[in-house]
Amino acid sequence: MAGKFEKRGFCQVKRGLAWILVGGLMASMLGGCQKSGADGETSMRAEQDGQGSGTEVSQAPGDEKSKPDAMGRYGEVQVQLPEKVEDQSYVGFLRGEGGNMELYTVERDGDAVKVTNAFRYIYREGAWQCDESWEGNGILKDKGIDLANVAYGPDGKYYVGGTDEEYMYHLFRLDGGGSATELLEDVFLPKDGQSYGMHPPKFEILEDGRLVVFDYYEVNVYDASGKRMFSMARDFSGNTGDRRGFCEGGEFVTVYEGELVRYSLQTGKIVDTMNFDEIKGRWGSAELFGDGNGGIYVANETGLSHGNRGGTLWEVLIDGSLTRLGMRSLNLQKFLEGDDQDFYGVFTGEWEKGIQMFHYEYDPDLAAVPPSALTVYSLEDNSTVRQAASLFQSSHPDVRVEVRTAVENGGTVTEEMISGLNTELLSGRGADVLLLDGLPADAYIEKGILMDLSDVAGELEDSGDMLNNLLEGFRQEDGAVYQVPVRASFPLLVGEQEALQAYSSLDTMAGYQGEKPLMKIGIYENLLRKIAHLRYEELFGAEGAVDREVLVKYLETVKALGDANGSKRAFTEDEFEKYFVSNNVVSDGIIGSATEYDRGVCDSGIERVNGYWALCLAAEVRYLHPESKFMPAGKIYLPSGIAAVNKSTANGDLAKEFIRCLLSYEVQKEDLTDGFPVNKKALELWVETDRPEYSIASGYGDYHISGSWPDIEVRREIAAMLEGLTVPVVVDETIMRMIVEGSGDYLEGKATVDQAADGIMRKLSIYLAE
Amino acid sequence: MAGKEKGAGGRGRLGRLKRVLTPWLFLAPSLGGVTVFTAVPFLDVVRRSFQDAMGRRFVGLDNYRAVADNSAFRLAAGNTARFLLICIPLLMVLSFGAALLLAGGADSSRESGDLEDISGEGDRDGRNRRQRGKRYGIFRTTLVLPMTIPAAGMVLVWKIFLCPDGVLNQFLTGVTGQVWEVDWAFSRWAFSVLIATYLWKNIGYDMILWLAGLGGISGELYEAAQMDGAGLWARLRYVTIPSLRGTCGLVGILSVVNSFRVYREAYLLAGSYPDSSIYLLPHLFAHWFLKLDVQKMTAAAVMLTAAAVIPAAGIWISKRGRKE
Repeated sequence: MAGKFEKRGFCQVKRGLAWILVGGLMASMLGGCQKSGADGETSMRAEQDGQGSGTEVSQAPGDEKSKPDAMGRYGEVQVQLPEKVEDQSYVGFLRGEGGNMELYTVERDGDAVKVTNAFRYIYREGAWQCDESWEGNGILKDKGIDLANVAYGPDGKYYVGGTDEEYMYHLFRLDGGGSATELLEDVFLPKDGQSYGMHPPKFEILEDGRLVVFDYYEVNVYDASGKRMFSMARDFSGNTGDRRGFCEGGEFVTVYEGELVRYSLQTGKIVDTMNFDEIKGRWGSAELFGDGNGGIYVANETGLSHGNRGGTLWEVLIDGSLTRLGMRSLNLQKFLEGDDQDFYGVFTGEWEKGIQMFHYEYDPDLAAVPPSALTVYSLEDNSTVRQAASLFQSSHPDVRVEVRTAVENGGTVTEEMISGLNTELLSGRGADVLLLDGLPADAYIEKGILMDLSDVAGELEDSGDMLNNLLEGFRQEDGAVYQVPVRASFPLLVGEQEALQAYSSLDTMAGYQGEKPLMKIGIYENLLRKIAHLRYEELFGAEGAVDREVLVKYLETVKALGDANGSKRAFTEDEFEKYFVSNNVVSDGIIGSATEYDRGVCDSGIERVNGYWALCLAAEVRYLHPESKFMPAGKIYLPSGIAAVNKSTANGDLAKEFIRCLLSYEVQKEDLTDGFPVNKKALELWVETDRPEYSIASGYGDYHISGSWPDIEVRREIAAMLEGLTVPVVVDETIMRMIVEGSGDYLEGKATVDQAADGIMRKLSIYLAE
Repeated sequence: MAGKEKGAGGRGRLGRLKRVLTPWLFLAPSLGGVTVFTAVPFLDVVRRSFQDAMGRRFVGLDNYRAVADNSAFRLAAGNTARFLLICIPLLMVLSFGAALLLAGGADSSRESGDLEDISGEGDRDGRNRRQRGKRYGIFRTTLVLPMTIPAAGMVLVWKIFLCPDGVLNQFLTGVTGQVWEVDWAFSRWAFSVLIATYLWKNIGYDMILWLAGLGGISGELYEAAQMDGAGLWARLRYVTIPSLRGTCGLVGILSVVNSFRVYREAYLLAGSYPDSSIYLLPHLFAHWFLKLDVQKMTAAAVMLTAAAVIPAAGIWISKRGRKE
C-alpha cells in the first residue's frame, strides 16, 4: 500500500516537473520576442536579400541620442600639407630614408600636359618640409622625364620612373651625387606592332636586387641584369593606375580572379588565396599593404580591413562610411601604417590633383558606432548620396548615415525589393530618407508616406541657391513638395536646323524627309524608349495617361524612324560590327550618337548630357560642322537621385538637414558623373572650371575623333539650357514595358498598328484601373 | 465518512473538469496557431478595410465601394472564378480517371499474379506481369513528375514549348504546311495555356489522393456487387463513387487551394501584366501591394472571404437543418 502511495507521489512529482518545464519553455519563448536592450533600442541586421547591404544598423526610434554601448574607434584628422601642394599633382607617398614619410608631387604647365618640376616633401617632427635639394628633380629635368612613380629600395636608393616626350617609359636608379642609372631599358620599348610600350603603374625593388614591375594584367619579376624571370597574373580593374599589390616577406600579394592571392617570389606560383568579397566595395578597387607579419591590410571605400595570414575573416578597423574613405569625390592613392598602430591616407581629386592627407588614430573616447542613425534607402547606388553621407557625418560626428542599396554591383531591381520596402513603410519603420528612383513615387505621395518638404524647398528657393526651374517640376498643385531632384541631365540634340526642327512633334519626326535618317540605327526597344522620353509631354500628357490615338501616332513614328535607319528588334553579332550597334537596352534609350552624325550616318545626333565630360565629343562635332547647332529636346530634363523623407521617421529634422546637405554647394560642386548640379552656385563653379587635362577619343574602323573639355562658351551655353528646363521626365517603367512587349510584332511587320495599340491599351487600361 | 464523501465529490468534480479540459488541451496548439496567425490578422484586415491606406483615418464603406467599382478587380475576380469553375472539375475528373486506370491496372496485374499457373507458361506470364507493372510505374511517374519540378524550371520548359519559334509552332508548321508563329502565352490562347499548365502540374497530386481513397474501399463490396451481377460501370456508379465522397471533398478543397498557386506559373509565364484572360486576383493583389493600396487589398480580401464563407455557411446550416 505504502509502495502504491509512494508511486503515486512520484508520479505527482513527475507531473509537477513536467509543468515546470512547460512553463519554463513558454517563458523562454515569449522572452525571445521582447525588445532587446533595456532602453528599447532595437538592433537589426539588414538582410542580404537585396534589401540591404548587410551592415549592422542601430535604431533608437524616438530617441535620437541614445547612449552608445561600446566605445573606441579610429578617428580621422586632416594632416596639414604645405600650401604649394594645392596646385600640384600626386606622384607617390612612401617611407623613405630613415623611415620618414615622403610625399612626391609634380607641377605641370598651363595646359596640364608637361611636368615642369618635381617635388619631395619629408614629414619630420609633425611637419612637412620641402626638400629643395632633391637631386631627382634635376636628373629628371635633364633627361626630359615626367615623373610618374617613385620607390625606395632596400638598398637605400631611390628609384624613379616616368615618360619622355615620345611617351616612352624610363626607369632610373638615383645613385647619389647627381648621377642616375637607367634600368630595364628594353622592357619598356614598344613590342612589335604596338605604338607604345609598357607604362607600369607601379614597381618595387626586392632585397636581392630583383625588380617587380606591374603591368595591367600581370606583374613581371626581372633580375638585376634585366632578364625576365617569371610573370604573375593579376586582375585589371579597368583603371590604368591600378596598383593593387605589394611585396613582403618573399611573397607578392595581389588580386587575381576576384580573390586576394599570394605568389611566391621564388617560384612565381600561387601559394595561398583569400576571399575578400565582403569588403570589396564598388569596382573592387583597393590599396593593399602588409602588416609585417604576413597579414594583409585592404583600404578602400568600405574602410580599412585586416586579415591574418591563413585566416578567412576580415576585421574592419576603420569604417569607410564614417570617414573620407567612403567619399566618392576622393580617390584613395596610398595608405601607410604609422608607428603606433595608426595610419595615414593620401587622397586626391580627379587627375591626381587636390591632394589631401588624413591621419587615423584609435580614440578610446569615441563611440564605436555613432549613437544616432539616419538611414537612406535607394534601389541602386547613388554617388551623390554617398558623397553627402560622408560629408554629413563629418559635420555630425554623433550621427551615422547608413546608406542601404537594394541592388549591389549592377544587379537587377525586382518587384520583391519594392515589396520589401513597402512592408517596412507600412509597419511605420522604413528608412528616414528615400531615393525614389524606380519606386512608385506617386503612390507614396497619394498614401501620405512622404513628408512635405516645401519648407526646405522654400528656403532654398528664397536663398537663390537652387535652380528653381528644376525644383518647380516637383511641386504639387497644392504647393507641397514631396520630392527633390539631386542631379539633372538632359538630352542634347546636335545637327542642322532642319533636322533639329523635326524633333518638335511625333508628326514631324515621322514625316522627316532628309538626305539621311533622322537618327542612328539601333534596336527597337531603345528607339521606343528614346522617343517616349523625347516626346514625353505629347505621349503621356499632363496626367501621365496614354491616349490611344497618340499611342498609334507614337508607334507609327517609331516604325517610320526604324524603317528609315534599319532598326531591328535584335541584331546579330555580324551586324554589331557592320553597323556599330549592340543589343544593350538603355533605360532612356539614349545612346550617344553625335559621332554618328559626324560620320554622316544620320542627320542628327543625341547625347544624354550629365556633365561637361559628356560634351567633349559633341562639342568637337559641332566645331567640325559649323552649320550644326546644339538644341535641348523641348523643356524636358531627366532627374536622378530623387530624394524624399519618410513621414513616419523619428528623425524628421535630421532627415531634412540631410536633404539640405544633398543640395548644398559642398556636395553639388563635385562632378561624380551622375548629372549636373541642381545648386546654382555649384553650376557656376562647373561653368568656370576648365579641365585642360581631359580629353576623350573614339574610333570605329577608319573613323577617329577626339575631343577635349568644352570651352567656356559651350559650358555657358549648356548651363543656360539647363536653366530653361522645366519638365522632369520620369517614364513609368511598367507602361514602358507594356509598350515594348506589345509593339514588337507591329515593328517587325507581323501585325498592324491597331492590333498593337489595342493589345497595349488592354493592358494599360487594367494598369490604370488598378 | 463525511470527509470521505467530500473527497469523493472533489474527485468527481476534478474528473468532470478533466473530461471537459482534455479535448481543449489537445486542441490548444492548433487553435492557438489559427487564432494568432489567421483569426487575429484577419480581424485586423477587417479593421483596416474601413480605414485609409496607412490606417490613419476611418473611411466607412469607401474602400468597399472603390473595390466594387474597380474594373481591374471585376476582371480579376471574374477570371479567377472562371478558372476555378473550369479547372477544378476538369482536374478532379481527369485525376480520378488516371487513378482508376492506375488502380485497375495494378489490380489486374495483382489478380493475374494470384492465378494458379495451370498452363505451364508461368515464366512467360511472370514476364508479362513485370512488364505491365513497369508500364504502370512509368505511367504513375509521368503523372507525378511535374509535382517535383520547381515552378521556374517548369515554366522554362513551357516557354520553350509555347514561344513563337517553339516546339508547338514548329509541330503545327510541319503538320499544316503553314508558318505558325503564335506566342501562345500572350495570345487569346493564354487561358487555355494556363489551364493546361495547371492540369499538368496537379493531376499527379490529385491522383495520389484518389488512389489513397480507392485503397480504402473494401474489396468485399466489389465482390458482393460482382456476385449480384454488377458490371464495371455499375460497380463504379454504386460502389466506388459513393465510397469516395469524403475523398472527393478533400481533393476539391486541396485543388482549390492549389489553384491559387497558379499565379506563380502565370507570372513566370507571362509577367506582371499578362493577357487580360489570365489576369487573376493574385496579380491584382501583388500590384496593389506595390502601390501600397492596402485599403483596397483589405476590402477585397473581406469581400472574397465573405463570398466564400457565406455560401458554405448556408450549405452547412441547411444540411444541419435537414439532419435535425
